[in-house]
Amino acid sequence: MAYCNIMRLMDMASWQSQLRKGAAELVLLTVLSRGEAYGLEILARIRSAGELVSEGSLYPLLNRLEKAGRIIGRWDLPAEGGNPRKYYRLTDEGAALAEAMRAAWIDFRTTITTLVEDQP
Amino acid sequence: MTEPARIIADYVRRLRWSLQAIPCEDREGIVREIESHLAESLATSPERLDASIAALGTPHALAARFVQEYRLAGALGEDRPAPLIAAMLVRSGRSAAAFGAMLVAMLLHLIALSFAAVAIVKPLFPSHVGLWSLPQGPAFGILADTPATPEMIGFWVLPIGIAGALACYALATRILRGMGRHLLRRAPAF
Repeated sequence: MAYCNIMRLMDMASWQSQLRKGAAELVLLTVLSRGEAYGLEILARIRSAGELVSEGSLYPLLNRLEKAGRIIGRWDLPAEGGNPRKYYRLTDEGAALAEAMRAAWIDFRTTITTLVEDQP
Repeated sequence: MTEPARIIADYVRRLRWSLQAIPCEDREGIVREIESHLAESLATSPERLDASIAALGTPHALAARFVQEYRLAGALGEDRPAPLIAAMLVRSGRSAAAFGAMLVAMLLHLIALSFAAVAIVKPLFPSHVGLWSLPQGPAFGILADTPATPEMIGFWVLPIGIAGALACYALATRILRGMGRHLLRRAPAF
C-alpha cells in the first residue's frame, strides 16, 4: 500500500516535471518578448508568476535558444567595474515563434479546459 | 580570498572542467555567465549564493545539461560528419526521420569513398579503372577483369572521381545539418 503511494507520488512528480519542461521555452520567450533581460532578471520575472524554470535549467535553455537563433545575447560591462551581465533579446525568428507558441498554447488550454475542468 | 569567493571560484573551476566536450570559446561564455550569476547572488547575500548553488546543481550536473543540449546545437556549426552522425544517433532512437537521415548520409559517405577510390586507383592500375560500354549496360568504376571493349574516358575519370566524392560528401553533410536543424526546432525544452 505504502509502495503504491510512493509510486503514485513519483509518477506525479515525473508528470509535473514533463509539464514544466514543455512550458519552459514558451515562458522564457514570452518573458523576453517584454524586453531585453539578463539571467537573474529573467528568473525574477518568471518567479513572479510561480516556480516554472529553475536556475539549473534556465542557462542551458538560454544557451540552446541562442544557438538555434531564437534569442541573441550581448555582454554588458559596467563602466564602474560592476558585475558583467549577459543580456538576451528575441530575434525576429524568436518573436515569430513566441507568437505562434502563444496561439498554440491558447488552443491547447481551451481544449484541456473543455475536457478536464468542465467535467460534471 | 573570502570563503564565498572561494566557493564561487571552486564551482567555476569544476564547471569549466566538466564542460570539456564543448568548444573552448562557447565554454568560456557559459562559465563567465554562471560566474556572473553567482557573483551577483553573493552581492545580494551569502544565503542567496547558497540558494543559487543549490538550484544550479553540482557543476557536473549543470555541465551535463549544457552538453546534452549542445550536442545537436553545437554540432550544427561544424562541417565534420562524425559529430553530426553522433548527434543524429542519439536522437535516432526517438525519431524515424533522424534514423533515415543518418542512413542516407552514411550511404552517401560510402559512395563518396568509392568515387575517391576510383580517383586514387586510376594512376596505379590505369587499365582497370574507367567507363566501359558493355552488352549488359555501362560499367563505371574499378573492374578486376578488364573488358574487351575499349575504355571510354581515360584519365577524365580522375576529375570525375574527385568531383563525385566531394559532391556526395557535401550532400550528406547538407542532409545531416538540415535534419539537425529540423530536430533542434522541434526539440522540447526541459
